[in-house]
Amino acid sequence: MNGRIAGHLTVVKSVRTWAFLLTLAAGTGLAASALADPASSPQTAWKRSTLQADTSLTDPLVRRGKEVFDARCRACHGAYPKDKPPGGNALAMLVPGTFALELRYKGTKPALLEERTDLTPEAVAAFVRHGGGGFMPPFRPTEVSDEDLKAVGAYLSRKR
Amino acid sequence: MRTPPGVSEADFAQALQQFAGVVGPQWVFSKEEDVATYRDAYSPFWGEPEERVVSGAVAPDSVAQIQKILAIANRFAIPLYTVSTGRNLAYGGSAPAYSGSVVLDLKRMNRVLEVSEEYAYALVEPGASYFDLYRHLREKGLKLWIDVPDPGWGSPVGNALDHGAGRIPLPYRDHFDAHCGMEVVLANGQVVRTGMGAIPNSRLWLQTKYGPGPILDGIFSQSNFGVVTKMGFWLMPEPEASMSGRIRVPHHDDVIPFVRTLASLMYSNVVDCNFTIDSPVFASRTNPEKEKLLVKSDGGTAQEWDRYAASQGLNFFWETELRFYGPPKIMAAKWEYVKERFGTIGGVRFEDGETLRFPLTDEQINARADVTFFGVPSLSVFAGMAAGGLTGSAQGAQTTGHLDASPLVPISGEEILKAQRVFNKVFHDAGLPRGLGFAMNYHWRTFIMFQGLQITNDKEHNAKVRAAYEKCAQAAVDNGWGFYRAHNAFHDKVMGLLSYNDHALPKLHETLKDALDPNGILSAGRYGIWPKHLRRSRT
Repeated sequence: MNGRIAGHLTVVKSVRTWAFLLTLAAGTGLAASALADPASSPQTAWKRSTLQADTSLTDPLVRRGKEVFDARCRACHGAYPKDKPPGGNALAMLVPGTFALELRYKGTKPALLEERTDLTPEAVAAFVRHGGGGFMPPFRPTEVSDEDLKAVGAYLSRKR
Repeated sequence: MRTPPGVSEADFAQALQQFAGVVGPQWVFSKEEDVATYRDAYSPFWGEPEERVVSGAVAPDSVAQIQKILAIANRFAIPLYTVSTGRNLAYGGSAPAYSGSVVLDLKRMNRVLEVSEEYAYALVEPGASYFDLYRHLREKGLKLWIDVPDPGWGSPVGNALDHGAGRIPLPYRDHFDAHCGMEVVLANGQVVRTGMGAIPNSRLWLQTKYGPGPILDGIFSQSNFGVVTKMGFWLMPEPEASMSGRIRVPHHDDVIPFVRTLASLMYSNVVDCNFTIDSPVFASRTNPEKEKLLVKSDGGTAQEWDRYAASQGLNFFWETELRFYGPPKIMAAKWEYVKERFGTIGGVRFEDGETLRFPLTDEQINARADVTFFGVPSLSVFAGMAAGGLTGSAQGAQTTGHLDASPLVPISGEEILKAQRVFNKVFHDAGLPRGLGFAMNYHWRTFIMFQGLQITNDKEHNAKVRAAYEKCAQAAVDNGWGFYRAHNAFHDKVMGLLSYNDHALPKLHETLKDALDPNGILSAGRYGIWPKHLRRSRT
């Protein structure tokens, strides 16, 4: 897409052996996805592997919210690799949303949305429907339905 | 509630009600908060009066629903604008070319309809994303690769119709070229299948592009003559392995034999990968000495540039990385032959790269940023943009999007050097940091020289970006080059440059438009094609 990114690829290749978890599938107790709800967003996802429900979450709305997060959010807002070097950003490219928020918050807030404790369903809805203020575009109701939006808001603002 | 131009409030309200009767009220959007999500997030006119806006949206789930929607649109003269996933960011996103249109949002039509491993093809609907198709292949354990553009959240149908491209070998990398078979709903509701698809129960629809008679698929790309509802794509059987090799040459003028050799290898199918011609000398940060060369009217002589490169300790001037796919023995033989061919350039150096075996493990995939070279969808490209540093960057303003001027130049070292000079001047004159572009072989037999431009929250900067964008297109045409795609806010401008024989080609587009969509309900203004009632004089 542009020369700078091609340059980044070279950097990334030098550290490619690091394990990197874009997705955080739970190890055990996986159940089939509940994402086939026809009244809600399609069963499509910006995710490379099959969606699976996390049965450790007991509230159905929160559980669905995590599925929506997996389907629509994690590709950009997933976790960094565990061994990300301090200040290094080569692998951070792989989760652009987390990387952008790290640059924006400069340590004042967690870059990883799932580590935030100050998010409200309203704030989540505003970011999804209006965009993140930077490169993150808004998402339409045909991509994340109102019902799914409530669910992902419930997931990110749940009591922990 | 906004109404489309030329449509009364009463008619629009009735049309929306009838749309709701077809798709269900939850899939018709007219409330401001919903409609706002269709704005082009990366609009070069963001927040300005010229920004293309949407009056509403309707999201069908089937061909039958589309037929009914088109009948209603014809009845009430509603201008529709079709999007597949609406993720065509930098080219208009989900916003229309004709401001005030109603978006015909095909995102819900997201089915992977058929995949044949034996014949290596897939048939998909417009809303099925690259991720969806990739996941489908993995879940079924099919040994087929898709080709994906840098961000994988768009769709094969949408990207192919806009002539997009990706990273794996040709012909698969050129998405329109790799399609075979198309189903289109015409403005009058008639469903047409192209090529062999015109034969009932055809078993060849997705395997041969030629049917008896004209090949019509092309008229439905970068146009507004119908609503494409299905497309077949040829897929690449998963190769055994892939290896890379890097080639570097030391001097400025080496680019001429370097590119000539690459071209010959490409045209003989020894090299079929996606590669870029990079230069650390041009791409590195500017400094006063480099600036002096760049502003010279001749752009700096070869000797001056070689001296500059040496002064910076850069020990090569041009490089490329080639990638081979297939059985290791064949890849090794090709790489040996490539080395032999480049051996005639003095000072050439080669570096053997890694060999990867397929399928990649999830760990390998998740650790790499270059997975698109192996047919794996990703969104990682956005992180590079978030970090800033696109050419044409703004100082101090919040970056909110990007725009890609995408001129095409012939596969020639001389032309690359000339294009560097021409586009550098465009950026310099526009008062933007230089876009020292690089050349990449996206499509067959042509180089693309992306000129990435940042959209920001600074309107003054965005005005400069728009001017530079238009000048890139003009400069391309002035030099006999071209462009492969454009943001829909510039469609009139770039299509206006197709002036051969008194704009004969755009006039032919209009003839087709009048015949196929007499009421002008489909995507008015897309690629400069306007229905009769909205057409302006070219003078």
